[in-house]
Amino acid sequence: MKLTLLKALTLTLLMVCTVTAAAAQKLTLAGWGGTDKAIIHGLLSEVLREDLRALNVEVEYLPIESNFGQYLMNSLSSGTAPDIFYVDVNSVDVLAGSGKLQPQSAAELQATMLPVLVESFEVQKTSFALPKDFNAYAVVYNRDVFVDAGVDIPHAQDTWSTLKEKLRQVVVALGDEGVYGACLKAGYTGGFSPLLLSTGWEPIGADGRTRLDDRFEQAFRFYISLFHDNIAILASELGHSWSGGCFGTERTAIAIEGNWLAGYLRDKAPNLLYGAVPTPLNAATGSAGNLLLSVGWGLNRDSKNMRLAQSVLELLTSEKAQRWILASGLALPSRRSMAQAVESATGRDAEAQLANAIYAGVNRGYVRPYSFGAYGDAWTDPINEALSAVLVGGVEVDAALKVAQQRFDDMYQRFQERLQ
Amino acid sequence: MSATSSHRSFYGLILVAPFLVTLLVFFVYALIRALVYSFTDYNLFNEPEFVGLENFLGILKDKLFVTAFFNTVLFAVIVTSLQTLLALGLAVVIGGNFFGKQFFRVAFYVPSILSSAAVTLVFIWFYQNNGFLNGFLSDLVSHRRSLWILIAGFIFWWIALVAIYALRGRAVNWFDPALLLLSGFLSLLLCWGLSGSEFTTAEEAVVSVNWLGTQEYFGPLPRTMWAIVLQNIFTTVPTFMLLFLAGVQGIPKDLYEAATIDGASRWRQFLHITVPQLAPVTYVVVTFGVIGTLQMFDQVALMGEAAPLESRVTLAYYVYHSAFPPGGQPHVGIASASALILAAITLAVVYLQKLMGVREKANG
Repeated sequence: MKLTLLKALTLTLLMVCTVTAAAAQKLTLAGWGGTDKAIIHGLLSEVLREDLRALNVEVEYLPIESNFGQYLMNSLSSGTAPDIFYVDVNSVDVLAGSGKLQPQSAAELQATMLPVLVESFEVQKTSFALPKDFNAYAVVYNRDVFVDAGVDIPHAQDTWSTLKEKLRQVVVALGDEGVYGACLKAGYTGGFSPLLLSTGWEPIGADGRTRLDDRFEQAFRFYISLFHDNIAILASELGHSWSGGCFGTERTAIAIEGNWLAGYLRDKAPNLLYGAVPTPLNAATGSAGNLLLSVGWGLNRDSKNMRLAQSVLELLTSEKAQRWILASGLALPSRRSMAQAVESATGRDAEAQLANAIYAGVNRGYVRPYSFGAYGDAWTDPINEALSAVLVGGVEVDAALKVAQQRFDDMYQRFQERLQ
Repeated sequence: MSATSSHRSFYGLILVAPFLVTLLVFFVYALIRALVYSFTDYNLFNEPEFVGLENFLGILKDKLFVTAFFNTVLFAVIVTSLQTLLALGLAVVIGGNFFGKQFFRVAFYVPSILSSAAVTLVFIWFYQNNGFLNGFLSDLVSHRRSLWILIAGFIFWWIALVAIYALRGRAVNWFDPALLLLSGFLSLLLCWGLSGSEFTTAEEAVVSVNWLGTQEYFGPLPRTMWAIVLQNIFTTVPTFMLLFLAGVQGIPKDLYEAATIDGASRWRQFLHITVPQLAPVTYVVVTFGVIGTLQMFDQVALMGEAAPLESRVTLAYYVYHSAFPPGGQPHVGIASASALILAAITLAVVYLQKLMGVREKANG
């Protein structure tokens, strides 16, 4: 009787142990809501399902619909953060400084990625996130508009001046039909940053100051001249909130946008024949400029399953995961090898051309991430306001630049005082 | 203490417990934490380090805080005054007896049940460079000749009609609605008669005022803050109108009857009966108005990138922006210190309005 009881107990214990061992470990992964929700769910449940099963791990995606930065700060500081999460390139400095972001040392994996992307997630030579995907700007042109105007289509060796001349000719030929060269925004992102960065201008100097020097002024005046010469128009004046809207309705010859334009045109203007080239060169520097918008995967330093989380992180940046990102059509994957896979993945020449133009764009000239250290997004405000003051408020360029420089100085002063 | 009163106290405590717990956790505890953090250098991740009054002194030197302070105080004064006057006026008007009273009551109340997000979005479109406001102003300027004729015609007919009545020896009120309507109708006829002539030719004009994306000032406030003033009044007046309406309906009719017998005009009845009798409601409306405007956050936050930070920042937004700067380093110590200053200002203003004669009781 005693022996039977002992056997039964042992058997039960064994079963419990087996079940416990077989139960998959759980990891949480947080990112944006909206379209990312479906993309990441698809990635986890369709593309990586077998790999995750092999690791014996269940990954739960937490889509954050509200302010993601605020969510991350709160959850990291209170110890309730997920194991893996998105790291926006503009917050990597602050998150790295918090000490809650696990440094990445997967050198082999990083070697497969675009170097400029890997560098954008580095703080003092230490990498803090693995790039998930990225976006940058390219010149997207409407083939029919250029053919109808009898003007050569833009090409990769265009300078800003030659592109401007082509757009001027388009306006001369088709202006009566309400066609403009481009519709742009009065802000740092969009067309202005590739133009500005192509001059070799550095947003924040080594001493933490922003100086609106001659190179800035040159780019600023050129951008304004596009409007004053009636070549460009503000998107809002054509009833759109972004330049892709004007381009999709064939009101402009070009748009300076990222890969997100491909998906928009696929839905809204499927018959529009378009092509794309990298952003133009600056005649003086001989280089192009571009603004890098990127999101990486970061690891919570307090994760209880660090090894497992690191393995999942590597799966999330694997080649097949990146193909899925590519097929989603919003951003471009971070692996170098994906640049060649673009054509087969999208199956559309124009979309492949746009993606290739962006890949080419981030591999040449002055490419800077959309990241402004401790200043955060507020750093762009003085530039946005200066452009708006001139383009909408009719303020003189000199006066607008003076105000903007003062605002940058005030911003610097404020942060210096806070750091002391 | 008897068993019954012990039971009563016990049940009383049970009933107020949920409120007490909420108050203790979300107010008292939060206040104490904010007080502690306000004297520390804390960024959510480091160990809070005691810095004495440094945060308070630092924000007083911060230009953004100074801007936020003046924006908030002026916003509170302007919005509270305007919304109180408008709400009182509307309540008196729709409290009267006229055709379609129920419709107007509902129509005037609708803005207050709309969500702030929806209203802000609509207002962003309204203020856009090619939005409704600039379009409307462009139309006004383009048709300024017709407009002048309309105004001049109205004044002409108004005076003429009063003169005709006076010559016939009949007493007439200058603000008689029928007289005003007739003057308006005749001036419209005049405009219509002149249409097509050179007097009413429209001259194409484009008004392109940058309402949001600017740091320019109009009077004491940035232009963007005026846009938020208008938006805030639009959404808050209906609720306060309802409070005043309840007050208006509670005033004994005898007072008006007695005043009428004594020969008091409508205006004197309003000044000497309605306004004093509404003192408790006015106190509530002004207090709620002051607190609401000093804590102004949602419409400013939702305005987002549509307007520069300096031209829309309020103290409540400054607190949030210091705690969670987009992509930047959190400064919890500064956020806590500024939150305490905001609380102190709110308390001081509420007491100040009591001192300035906004009374809690009628006839008090």
